[in-house]
Amino acid sequence: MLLAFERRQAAAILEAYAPPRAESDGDVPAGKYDDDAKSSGERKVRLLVPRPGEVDYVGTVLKMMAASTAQARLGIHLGLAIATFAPLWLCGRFRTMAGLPMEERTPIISRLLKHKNFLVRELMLLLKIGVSLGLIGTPSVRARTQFAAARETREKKLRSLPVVSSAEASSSSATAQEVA
Amino acid sequence: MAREHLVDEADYVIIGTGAGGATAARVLTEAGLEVLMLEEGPHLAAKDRPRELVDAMATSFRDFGTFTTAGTRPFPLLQGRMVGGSTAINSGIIWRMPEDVRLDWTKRFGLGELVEEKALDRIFTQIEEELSVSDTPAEIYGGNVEKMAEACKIMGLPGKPMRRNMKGCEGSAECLQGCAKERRQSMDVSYIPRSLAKGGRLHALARVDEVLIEGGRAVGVRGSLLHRDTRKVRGTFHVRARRGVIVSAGVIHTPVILRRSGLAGLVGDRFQAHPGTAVVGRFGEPVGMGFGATQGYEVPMRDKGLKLESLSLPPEMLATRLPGAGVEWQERLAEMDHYAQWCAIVRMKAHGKVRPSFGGGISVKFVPLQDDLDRAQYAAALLCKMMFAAGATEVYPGISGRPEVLNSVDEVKLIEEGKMRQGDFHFMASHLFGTACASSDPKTGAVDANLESHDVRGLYVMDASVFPTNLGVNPQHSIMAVVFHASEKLANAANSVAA
Ligand SMILES: Cc1cc2nc3c(=O)[nH]c(=O)nc-3n(C[C@H](O)[C@H](O)[C@H](O)COP(=O)(O)OP(=O)(O)OC[C@H]3O[C@@H](n4cnc5c(N)ncnc54)[C@H](O)[C@@H]3O)c2cc1C
Ligand code: SF4
Repeated sequence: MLLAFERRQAAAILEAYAPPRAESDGDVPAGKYDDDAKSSGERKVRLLVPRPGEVDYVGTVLKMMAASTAQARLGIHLGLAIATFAPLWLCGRFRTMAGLPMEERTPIISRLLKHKNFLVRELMLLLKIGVSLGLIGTPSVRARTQFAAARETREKKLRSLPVVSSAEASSSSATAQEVA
Repeated sequence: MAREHLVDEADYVIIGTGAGGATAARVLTEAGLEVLMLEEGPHLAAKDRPRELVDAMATSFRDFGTFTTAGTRPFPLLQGRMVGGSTAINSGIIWRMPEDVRLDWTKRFGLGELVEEKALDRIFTQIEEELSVSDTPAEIYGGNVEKMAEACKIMGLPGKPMRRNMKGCEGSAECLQGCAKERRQSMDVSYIPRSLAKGGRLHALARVDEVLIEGGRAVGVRGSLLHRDTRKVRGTFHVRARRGVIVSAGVIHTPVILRRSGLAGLVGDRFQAHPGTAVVGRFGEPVGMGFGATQGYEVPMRDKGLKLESLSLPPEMLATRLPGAGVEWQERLAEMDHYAQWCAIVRMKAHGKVRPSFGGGISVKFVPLQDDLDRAQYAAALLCKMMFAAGATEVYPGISGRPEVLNSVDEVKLIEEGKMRQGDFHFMASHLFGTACASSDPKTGAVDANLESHDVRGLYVMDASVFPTNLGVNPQHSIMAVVFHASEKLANAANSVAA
């Protein structure tokens, strides 16, 4: 569903929304936090930033495309094309996104997300949906966001709540399964 | 490989198994009639529904949630596509039909019999008992709801816990992916198993392409059997309907099926919606959106045609709502447990049209009026103020052309000032209405007060398409009650003929 050229560009573009930590940087996200991370905020960022190859962005976008409308698929192709050639039309440089180092790709993505043209902005947001699904949908990354921590803590408190008996709860599923 | 061809028959063939179709099946089977449900989406037990959001959306959302209105400023129209329809992905919020709507339908559309007060009261009560409707208990509010309740208290807004159809909700905030423990009483775990247990039958992955009409009467349907994973056509079917065909394919697909079957006139007209806009607030302390009822608290503002709701998102979707890219975004992502999100649904006055388009596609033309946008703008600004009142340190209004991030309540004026256009909002609509409206007068409706087509005998529409107006409140309960009542009358008529 993506040509080889598009696939290569897609990998470079999607990854640039949330740059992975460079191998040489250890825990540090590319482009910032050169000093030792002191604040807890910085430590959290370090924790969250994906490792190179940890997230399969292209695979996620392909899954998304397979289930989407033809119009949305076209939007993804168009969004990728706009971003691929953004170094040229936005910055006047004879490069594609895949030809730029990460620290130059990310600022271009930021500019595209705020672009004054509705179509450009919305298509970049469509790609950001794919990136978010890929990034936070990766269990190892999601675990590092602590998003579920509140649930785990609060679930313990719930023990005192009235809950339907397991027999009652499972009976409807049994009926549905039997018939299916 | 030879293609499968399925032939079947029943008294009533029901197309679609959402709020409308499942309720019709529940009533007709219990009246002893033979019912066959045909559903385009898969039949999934709660335990078999994928938990990862990307897979869950691919499985149970129509088109991964990417189906949009037509035009240069499109916005998504969300629909479920599995046994249970949109109820299988919704939040289970329950509202009875407001009295002003009931009176309006009676007066303007001659639907007094369909929405007769005593009958509706009885049916609402019965459905509420059958689906265990109750107020969201404080124990499962979660931080997102608690923050909203706090804002309402500080600002003197009439907030209240939502009523939902759930049995012992545990607050996993995952209604969108399907309730793994079957706490939410969506149609796939309530009325459909109940109908199947009483002799109803169901073919899933069976998409109806056309209603067959002979001599001015609906006599059956034909359609395509779909492959579960690829959704490609693997066969065909033909089902004869001895007594009638009930179309319950939802507001977008019902008019398309009807038009492809040769009906015209008002079919597809009067499309209406409650598009929504959402605001995210970041707090200094953890909020814990990952725990609590997916939606648990609301501020009804009927006089303004607005309703504010708490809306917890899966983390993947929340991530999309956080501004920026690169380190700016990652810094926000690093505090995923520090956000609250609330939305405003707008009872829009605009009317649109749904039509089949080339190559099997569907076009939905809908352009909000300036008054609709003004109210959305008012609601977005109010939500921003509420976020700051609850203690947010940053607020993301989600409106293009205005600041992405507000840092203080004084900056909310940047949202309040000036006129906004449609493209400024990131609307989404999941409450859809109209397109095969009921009216006792064929000049203003496609179906009559019994929900039978004015043009074709034995052809009924039983879903949100029959609503001649939108409601201003969450629609599932009203859809079920209206369909319940019409199905009771249909069953009585069928049984008295048989007797
Ligand atoms: C994400 C989301 C959250 C919501 N939250 C709430 C809420 O909390 N409370 C509330 O009151 N309402 C809510 N709603 C709205 C509510 O769920 C819908 O209004 C209601 O389910 C509509 O009922 P329906 O019968 O008209 O259509 P649906 O429930 O959408 O059912 C239509 C069914 O028909 C099937 N179908 C379509 N075409 C064909 C075909 N050709 N052949 C066979 N089958 C077909 C579809 O796959 C689908 O299963 C929500 C909706 C969404 C999408
Ligand atoms: S919040 Fe969780 S437990 Fe409650 S109904 Fe929704 S999915 Fe089920």
